[in-house]
Amino acid sequence: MIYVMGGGQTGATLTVTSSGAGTITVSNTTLGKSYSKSVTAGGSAVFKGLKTGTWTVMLTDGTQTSTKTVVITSDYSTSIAYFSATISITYPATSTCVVKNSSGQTVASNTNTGTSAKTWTATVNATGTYTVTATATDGSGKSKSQSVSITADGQSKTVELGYSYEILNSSVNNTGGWYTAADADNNCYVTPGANNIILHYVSDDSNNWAVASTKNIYEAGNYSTIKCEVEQTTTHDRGPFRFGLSTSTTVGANNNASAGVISNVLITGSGVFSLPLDIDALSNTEFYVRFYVSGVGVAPTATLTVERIWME
Amino acid sequence: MTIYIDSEYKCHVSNDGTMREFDVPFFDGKCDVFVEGYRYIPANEAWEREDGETFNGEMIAPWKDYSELYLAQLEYEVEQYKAALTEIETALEVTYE
Repeated sequence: MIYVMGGGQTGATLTVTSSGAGTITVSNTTLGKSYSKSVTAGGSAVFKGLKTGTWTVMLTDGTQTSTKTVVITSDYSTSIAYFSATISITYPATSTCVVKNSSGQTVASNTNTGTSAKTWTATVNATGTYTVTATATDGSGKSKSQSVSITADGQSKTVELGYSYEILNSSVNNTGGWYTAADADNNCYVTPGANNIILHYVSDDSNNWAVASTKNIYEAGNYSTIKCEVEQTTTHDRGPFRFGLSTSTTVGANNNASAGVISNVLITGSGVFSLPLDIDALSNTEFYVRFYVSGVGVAPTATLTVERIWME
Repeated sequence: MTIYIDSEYKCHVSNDGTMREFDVPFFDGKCDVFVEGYRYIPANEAWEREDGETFNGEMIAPWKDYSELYLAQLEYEVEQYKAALTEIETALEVTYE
């Protein structure tokens, strides 16, 4: 604790250094005193003759404000800065990106006219929940949003927005490989390829089953739909195969092809087509992607080739 | 398990008189909270989500945050286990500490 060395002056001297330009006001409601001085960015304001006690120091430029309290017992120096937090945002090509506060006001924006994803940093000057939205400018109507919570000065958060995430396609394989299993008499079997996976089903009177599960696990995050593009050879209106999401990669001790499955859709139709599965309620759940079949004499012999899996 | 679906394809464990009845093995052993957090689209039917995405049946997917449904089912299974253990204790006239 530093005590006043005198100099013949009553009271203490408070020196406030500010990182931003504006007006610094020091006040003590008990004493009924308030003093203000203008300051430039990086400059200091000196207040002399302050009586001991608790003083409020406020910096404002009319738009943003920062406040702190100091206890003065002797000459005292402090610094003050406007609230600042950053959000590092990566968003798709040919898009605009906007950051809005909880009141719906735009606080930062950016444009990406390039052909690849762009990363930029938005600065916000208050705590709160912000919504980051990317919107395509190619007329496709695609848009993706994510909320981010800022709780402290100096905080830094990261947001990645994408209109889709490819798990598997002709040039991408983010499956981590496949866990496969099938019934013992091999009426069903699975053929993993470099960029696809094929399930084979032969219908007879025994219990036929097969499973192909990604080894990688995923989170829906801000994606609401997971889709697959397949080619199925059967024309039966209740095709044997299912596209599902599971909390497990394996079939368990009981060879249960649907073990751990938390959602699924029956794959019907023949030829090449895509089908969606709703994942809007899975933003807080991790899952594996699974294709499986299980049944006795369920449908004619059929082959399912999975060519693409993605989330959007 | 017999479930009932409303006009939004949301599942229910009882019928208010306006719902359709289906037998869906997926829900066997599941508690009411779990079942009623799901949506069931029957085969040959389709549901359009509010954003315009259309989902064809047969589809079974949660509409409530799955993490909440998982917790409810876990608590249900713990209670089932406790009840079974109590029955065993009663039958054997012992108490397991």
